[in-house]
Amino acid sequence: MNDEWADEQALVRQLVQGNLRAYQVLVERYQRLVLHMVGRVIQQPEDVEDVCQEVFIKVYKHLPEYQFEAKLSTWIATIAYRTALNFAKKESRQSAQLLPETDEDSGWLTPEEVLVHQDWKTFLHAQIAKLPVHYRTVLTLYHLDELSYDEIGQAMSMPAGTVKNYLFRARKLLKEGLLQFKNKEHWL
Amino acid sequence: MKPLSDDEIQAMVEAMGQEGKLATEEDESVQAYKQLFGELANEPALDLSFGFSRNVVRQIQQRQAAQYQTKAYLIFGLTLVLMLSFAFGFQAIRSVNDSTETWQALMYIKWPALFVLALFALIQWADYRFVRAKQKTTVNKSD
Repeated sequence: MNDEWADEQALVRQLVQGNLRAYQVLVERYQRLVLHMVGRVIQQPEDVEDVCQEVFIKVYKHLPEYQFEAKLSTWIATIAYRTALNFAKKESRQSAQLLPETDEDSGWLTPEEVLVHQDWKTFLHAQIAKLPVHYRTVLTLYHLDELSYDEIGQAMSMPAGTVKNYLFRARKLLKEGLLQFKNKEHWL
Repeated sequence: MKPLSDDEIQAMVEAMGQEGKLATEEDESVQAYKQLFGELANEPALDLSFGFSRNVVRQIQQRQAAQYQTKAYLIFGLTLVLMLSFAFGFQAIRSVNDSTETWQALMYIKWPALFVLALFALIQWADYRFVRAKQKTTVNKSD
């Protein structure tokens, strides 16, 4: 952990001095995290890469303001989350997916939609895509990027307790969907 | 035996991992959660283009170059205005008649001069747009 911290500090110092080769290293290190974050918020694949690029340009621009209060990954995740959300808000076609956190019914597929999917994995991903954006993001950061509740809270500007709550609720919704899918033959 | 709540099952599955065996394995909720946890940890199909990091660095360099160019134009323009103001002011102090004549001469050519300036700005703007569009196409093609 200390080695990682010292390594990050050294990298950031080089970047602030304008070393663009070092910046390429940073992009390669964190592009997966940014892709996961942006990919969950923005669901049009053709826009994802442009937004990821915009995120890293913003990171470079604001790097002199980074004061090491949080891990670099958390700080980058914060910028990625805000940039992706702003982009999604601007895109009117996305507005239907930016649902309020309490709208859990939005994460529920109709029986017709359940029947369309043959495979439980594609069904699950369709269901994740229907969840409110906060749920999708929390799931990704926790399960895929292995960030802690505190780190996710910092990135999404919400208390760790709320993160934990969203995570449990999202997983419960998905589990119920999976059970519904498995029992779909009962409707036929 | 009292059935486990969702919170308890989630905590158990998380603690045991995908490979772990649970005492309540036959429970369909436990099975569903195990599948769910496994799939959530899988890398999504979405990927960035090869050379993404290089494209980001190139974009930064291009933006920096554009900023330096804008700064250079601003400094050049300001210097020109200051030099002209200084020359005109100096003339006004030394000889009032000469400065009046200069002013009249300037007023005489004001429309052609403004037209030339506007045309120059328009060409610069069109050039900037053309270069930006070309850069975007190059970046997309290199993807």
